Amino acid sequence: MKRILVGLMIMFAAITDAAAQDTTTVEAMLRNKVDEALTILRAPDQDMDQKKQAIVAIVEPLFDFPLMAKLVLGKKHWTSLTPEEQQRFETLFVERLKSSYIDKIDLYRDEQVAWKPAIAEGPNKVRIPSAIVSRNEEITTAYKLYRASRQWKIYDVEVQGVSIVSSYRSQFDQILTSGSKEDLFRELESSSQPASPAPPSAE
Amino acid sequence: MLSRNPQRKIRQWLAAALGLAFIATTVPATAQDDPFADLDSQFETRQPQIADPLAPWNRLMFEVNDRLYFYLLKPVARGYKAVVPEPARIGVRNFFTNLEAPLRFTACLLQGKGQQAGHELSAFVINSTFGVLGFFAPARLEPALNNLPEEDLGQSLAVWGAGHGPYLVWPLLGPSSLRDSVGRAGAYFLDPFTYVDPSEADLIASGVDTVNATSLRLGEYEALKKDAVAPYEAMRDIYVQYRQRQVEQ
Repeated sequence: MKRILVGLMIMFAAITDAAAQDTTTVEAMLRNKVDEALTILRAPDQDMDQKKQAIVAIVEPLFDFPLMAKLVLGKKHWTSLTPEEQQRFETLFVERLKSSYIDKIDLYRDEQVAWKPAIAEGPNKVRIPSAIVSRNEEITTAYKLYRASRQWKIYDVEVQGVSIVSSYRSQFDQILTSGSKEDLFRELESSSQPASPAPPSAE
Repeated sequence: MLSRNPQRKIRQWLAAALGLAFIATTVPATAQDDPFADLDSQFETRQPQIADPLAPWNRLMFEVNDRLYFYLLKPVARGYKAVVPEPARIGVRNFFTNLEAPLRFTACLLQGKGQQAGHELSAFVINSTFGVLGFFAPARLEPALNNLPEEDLGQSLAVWGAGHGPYLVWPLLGPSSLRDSVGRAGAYFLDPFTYVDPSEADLIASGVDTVNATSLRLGEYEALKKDAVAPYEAMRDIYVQYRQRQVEQ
């Protein structure tokens, strides 16, 4: 009997962890992770940098960053890079994406996350709409996940209907259409530039 | 291989189930051998497009607006924010949002959204009265009247089949398109301040509206610019995607 129970447990673990998840399970998984992150965020008197680290540790495995790096270039531009350049691009882009995500953590105040039912977009894709609700407004967001070999992974995020991947796609397309690969890497490496422009005298 | 031993039967069944679960984990469902190809074509076909024949003018205006933001609007909005507490600023925003109700109501009607037009009207009446001229938004407490999609005439034109036309960046007003500019011109006639005497009141009202709205959104433009690798294209793309969703709603 004990062996059967152990067997059942393993089976259950295998099923929940695996591609056998249906959209409701994906939704529950994502909700859990986001709830975990929010709990950390709301914890009083804790160092912000520690909080950020803990949140990134929870959120990071949910994203398929290498796939996102490919998608923002698109097949046309991605295949025009050498394997070394692809690797370099992936590293730089993923770094940029993560740091922009971490920056957003600072903006958090007392917002709640409201979930809406997941929408299956074909057998291997799901869209999970949600909203960030604060005291005076509601920002609609959506997570887009696909069925990877072992689990569902996020490949795009939408904020107010604006897809992050689409947005980067048109920017990189612009850079590579009107410029060169060197321009692309220069733009990516200068990511830590200040948000405000230089004083007018420097122009 | 049928056995009378129920335990063994269960074990066999378990083994089969485990096997299936294992197959499910290791063999991904069809079409996912190359998720890149599948998703790439999805993004390729859905990539929003807008013609930008006036790019030199638009880029110049983008720069002008960028400077105006950092050197004029932002410092003023920061000063205003320091003096006026947040609840009051939210009240001011509610007030201006409420006054745009005639515009949203008309835009709803032009799109054949009768029910939503009715909701706009109810919200306008409730907020203007119980909400003390719209400074409070008690209509939001009613779920049907909360978060109504913000309709405008540009969206009505889109619903009638008008495309964006060329992308246009206006000084002070920011990103737009030919279609949305026409919509904006129409909105002028639905703005109550247009009919207020003296005519300077209209200018002052838009100034207060802009500074107040900016004070509630400080840091957002900065973040957008920081995240962008090509800020002008980023802004254009965000505009088109955002409008697309508004039209679809």
